Formats: sequence, C-alpha cells, structure tokens
Amino acid sequence: MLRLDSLMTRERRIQATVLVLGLILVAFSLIGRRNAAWPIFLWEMYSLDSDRYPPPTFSVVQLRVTDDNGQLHRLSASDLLAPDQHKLPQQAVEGAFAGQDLATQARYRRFLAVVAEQAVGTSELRCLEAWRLTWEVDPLAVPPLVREEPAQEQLVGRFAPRAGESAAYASPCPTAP
Amino acid sequence: MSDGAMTTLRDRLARLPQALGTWLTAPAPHAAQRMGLFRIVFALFYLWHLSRYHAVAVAYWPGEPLPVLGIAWVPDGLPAAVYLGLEAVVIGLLVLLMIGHRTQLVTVLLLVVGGFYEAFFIAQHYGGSTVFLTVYIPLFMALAGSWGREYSLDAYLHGGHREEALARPAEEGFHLMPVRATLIVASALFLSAGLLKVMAGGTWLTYTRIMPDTVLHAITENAAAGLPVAPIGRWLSEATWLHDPLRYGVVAFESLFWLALFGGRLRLLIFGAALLFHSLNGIWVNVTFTPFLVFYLMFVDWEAWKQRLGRVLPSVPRWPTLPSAVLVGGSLVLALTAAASWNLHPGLRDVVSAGGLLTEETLMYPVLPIALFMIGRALVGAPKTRSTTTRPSKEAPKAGTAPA
Repeated sequence: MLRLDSLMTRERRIQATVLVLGLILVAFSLIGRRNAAWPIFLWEMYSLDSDRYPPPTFSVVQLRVTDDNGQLHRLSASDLLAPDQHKLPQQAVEGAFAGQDLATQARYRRFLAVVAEQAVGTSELRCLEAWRLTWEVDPLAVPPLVREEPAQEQLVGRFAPRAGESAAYASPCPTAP
Repeated sequence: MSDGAMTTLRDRLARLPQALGTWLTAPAPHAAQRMGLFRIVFALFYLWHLSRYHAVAVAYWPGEPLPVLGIAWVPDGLPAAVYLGLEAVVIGLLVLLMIGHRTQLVTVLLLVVGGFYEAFFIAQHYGGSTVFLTVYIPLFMALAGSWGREYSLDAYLHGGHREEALARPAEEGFHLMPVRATLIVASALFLSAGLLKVMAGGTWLTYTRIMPDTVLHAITENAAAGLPVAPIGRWLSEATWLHDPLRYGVVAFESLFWLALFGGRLRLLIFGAALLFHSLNGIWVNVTFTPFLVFYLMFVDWEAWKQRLGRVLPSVPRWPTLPSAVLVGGSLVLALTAAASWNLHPGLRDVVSAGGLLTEETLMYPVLPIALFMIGRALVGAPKTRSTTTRPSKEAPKAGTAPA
C-alpha cells in the first residue's frame, strides 16, 4: 500500500512548507484587488465603500409558495440559502421575470423552484409567487423599519413550478380547487 | 550601501528560509496529540460549514459566474449530479478525516476536491471567511502530513507512528508547523485588510462615518430579514467622538495582527481582541466571519483540555480490540453512508448543526466571554503554562517561549 509519508522526509516537508509560504506571500504582494485568482486574494472587506448610510426605502424579495396541500409558505432569502448567498434570490427574481429572453427566464425560474422545494421540503409545489416588499426606513429608530408593515407589497411574477422545463416554467398557477 | 553591509544583508536573506524553518518547527509540548484532536474538531467544523449550503444552489444557478481561477476551465451546463457528487465526496472525505483513516491521502484529496467545490460558491459570491477552512489549513496539513499520527485509525493500525513520536519529543514541534504557517498567511491577509482600507483606492481615510453607517446599514438589513436588531444605531451615529477612534482602530488592529507571530501574551491579547471584534459584529449587526473561527481553534491545546477533562470525567471504557479489516470496512461504510445520505435525509445535517441551533450568529455568543477572558488574562498575567503532558520531556519549552 502506498504510504504518502514515505514520499517525503520531514526535512523535505519543512522545505516545501517554506517554499509554499514564500510563493503565497509573493503572490499576495502582486495580486492587488483581483479576486479572480481565489484562493490567492486579499481581504478588501468594506475598503471601497463610500456611502453606507441606509437608503430612505429598503426592499427585499419574498417567495410565497403554495404546496399541493394548499398551504402557503413565505420564504425570505435566509430561508432559501446560506447567509452569504442572500443576494442570489434577488438576482434570481429579476432574471426570472425580467430576463432577456424566455430561455434565460426559465433557467432562473428553475433555480427559484429548486431552492423553494428544498426550503419547503417537498417537490409538490403548485404555485410560486415572487413579491417585492418595500419599507420606509428611519435609520436611527429601533427598529429602523417595522417588518410586519411594509409600505408596499408588489407581486413581481408567478408561475407553476411543476409545469416543468419543457414549458419554460411559463405556465400560470392553477386556481385553487 | 557599503559592500560589507550588502554582504551582511545577502547572508541574512540567504539564512531566512532556514530561520523560518526553525521557527515553524520550534518544540512544543504534546504537539502531535493536539493536532490529532484538532483534526477531529476541524472535520466536525467543516461538516457544520457544509450543512448550511446545498449543492443545488450552485448546480442550478444560471447567472454568469464570477471569474475564479480554479473553475475557469469548467464547462457550462454540467449536470446537477456532478455538483451533488462533489459535495458527497467532500462529506465522505471529512468522515474519513475525522476517523483518521488514510489521513494523508484524505487530506490531499480534501484539499483538491473541497477547494474545487468551494470555488463554485466563491464564483457566485466572493467571500473571504472560508479560505482557511477549505484551502490553507488543508494545504499546510497536507504538506506537514502529520495530523493523523495521534487519535486516528492510522495510529491504531500502525502503532509505530505513536512510538516514533514519543521517542523523539524534540521533533514534536514539527507537528505544529501547519499552525504557524497558517498564522503567517492570516497575518498577511489581516495586513492586506488594513492597508487596502487606506491605500489603492481605499476610502477609510476620507469616509469618516464608515463605521456608524455600516452598522446602521447592517441593522436595517437585519430588521428586514426578521433578525434581532441591536439598539445601538442612534447612539453610535450621534457619538461622533467615537467615529475616528473606531475607524482608525480597525485599520490599526488589522495592520498589526502580525504581532501575534511573537506568541505569548501578545498573541493572546491580539486573538482575544480579534475574537471580541468578530463576536460583537456577529451579535450586534449580524456581520459574521464565522468559518474563520476554525483558524483560532488551531491554537487551542486540545490535548491539555482532554487531560483536564479526563481528571473530572469518568473514564471511557476501552473499545474492544477489533480486526483491522472490520475497522477499515466500518470506516468506509460510515463515510459512504454519510456521503449518500447527506442530501437524502436531513439527519446528518441536523446532527452537525445541532438541529439548526448552531448558526453563523449563535456560534458567536460563546465566543464573546471567551474573548473577554483571553483579553483579561493577557493583560493581568502571563498565561499559566502547566505541563499537562503525561510523559517526561527534557526539551519541552518554557512557558511563553514556543511559537504556538
């Protein structure tokens, strides 16, 4: 059986570690703000921000999913994906209903359907609606917005996830029985 | 510069790799054992990290991926099964790593497959907190190749490893080489975070309200997401006397993190301050950097804690001796079961995330008192180093002299 530790002596391992460290540090010094070379990249957290004061209004997307039992599930970004993926549902909703062509829209709709199915725990979804909730923000108040009272609830679009990809996820939601 | 000075400089530069190698491998008590225990902690932490993500999120994502070197050549439109398969392989490897079966091979595979899998998520959304978990720690562990020497199936099956380690205590520092190498990389990245805020287009010298505005923005996002809202927005916004100290304090701290390389109380203070910063950000404004916690876990002397706990907890009965084939077969079955069930049943995800209780935010609550304790201990007195090793070691370092 091949034993990897037989391939390198301890001294070789130390030399290799020193060499790799040197290469990483040299790469860090050359990479600048180019993230594309991940995992060689620098931490530029918040370093380019120039206006972080909250805007007067704030919007998020919410999926309202009806399963085959007629039960309605309201899913926010944090219900759908991990915290650092919170911008994806917003992008997906834009692509799903304002994408450049039907094929593009279908791909985004499939993404929304898949993550919604996962969040609800069933693939038997009857209707998926994307809503945009907008609040007026008072940044210094506690809380800065009242989540239960959005100033505006706008239906962005809806489709029947179970219609399948062949129908380009363009079928309308069936009416409730 | 005179010829003599040039010669001296050249000599010193020539000796730098050797000096670095000596520093990386400085002796430390029971280093092999603590790395063996850290391997188990690392695998569990990595499993928790993956429990929050789903391969389908990258498999079905139709957006244009950000250009990331590691996946630049991957064709578009791969079947979802490829991503699910990658995820399953990483899960299986982590189970084998935890058990310590074929540890060196598994570490190399984890570095390659796990790093590749993570690159797809990075291509969706750049993030800096996972790179140590998915790349740098596996990389340096693979180069050192020794975190499977203790508390592993490898050690159980090949007892010679343990005897070898015990016979050469002076070389035990070698096992901490990956910890020290990772600290150098972390120091460089912290330095980059500080410098980029004030150089190369960084705005922190001119944007005087960066700290209160960032907090207000995060609080607004939290309120919309239904997360707890910290009641500090107005106070922080109006406390103008605090804005410059906060702004410059963050830049100074990040730029000086490398002082942790000197070890002892200074490292305890810097790690404590960093953990305090991480935890307050996580608890107050939900700005978390949680996957990076695994970096600090590398520095815990897990062997010392095990021995302390061993004095107060009842001893665990020894496992019956089983044939090697049964142990190896059982390990493989466990790994395959975990990999296959990861997306079929929520059971394993629930176990490693404690039923969803362990989140990016909740993990920060215990960090806060630990950080305060570390800062207090660093300021009040030197870390008390009591030999917890069970065997005599003439070359064990004195308190505070070891790099890690």
